[in-house]
Amino acid sequence: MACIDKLNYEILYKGSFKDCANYIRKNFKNIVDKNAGEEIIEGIFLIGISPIPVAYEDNYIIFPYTKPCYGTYVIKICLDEFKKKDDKKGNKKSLLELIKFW
Amino acid sequence: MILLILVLIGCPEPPILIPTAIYLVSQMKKKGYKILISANFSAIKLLDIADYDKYYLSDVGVIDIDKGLKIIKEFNIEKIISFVNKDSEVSYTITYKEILNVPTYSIVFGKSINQDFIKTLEERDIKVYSARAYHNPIPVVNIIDKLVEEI
Repeated sequence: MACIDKLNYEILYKGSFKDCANYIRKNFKNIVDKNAGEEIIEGIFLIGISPIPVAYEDNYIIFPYTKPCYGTYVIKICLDEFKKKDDKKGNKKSLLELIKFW
Repeated sequence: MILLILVLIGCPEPPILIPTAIYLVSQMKKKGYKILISANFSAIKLLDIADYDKYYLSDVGVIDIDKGLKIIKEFNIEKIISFVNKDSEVSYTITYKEILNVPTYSIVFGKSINQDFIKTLEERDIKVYSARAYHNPIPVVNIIDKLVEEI
């Protein structure tokens, strides 16, 4: 998964997944419902309960982002950030490099 | 075809989580299942050190919980068992279930039982086993015994 720390993001809200989904629905207009597990952009997967609201505003994407220890945040990222990341593709790891057996 | 049980482990903060996860893996291995653990980075390190000589965890596969989302479909996962103590773990459980569409079981535990977690999971057709436990692992061990018997 792409490390979100490497991107310029803004945290708009923090709460449970349901609170974050409600926040997006209440505060944005251009919303697309997506399924859990969908890779919205290279390396970034939606985690939560479908339908997951993803908002698009100007050149920004707003979506709920979950980390196991820290919970869910509504984050806003400029889409240009992802274009920059796309340019750096070509570093894909094979299945066996991602999993290890003890 | 090797059928795998996927064990989901989120935040390893609760003291009972890593010992009971190892207990679950051990019991499932005794039943002949192959295990793949998808866990948070720190949880993987804790498991690694807790069973350093791999007495219980030998032949167990392990993958990062986020990276697993991308490749988990490549494996023949038969069932999912998740540990749920936080809201984020409810989200991960439901997400993995949506990706794999296999029978899913959740062990919901904590200092108190969050009924909202149970309701959300059950609405998604996930069988929930719950126990109020945080420092003392025995209530969770008991529900693991029940789960292993029923699965």
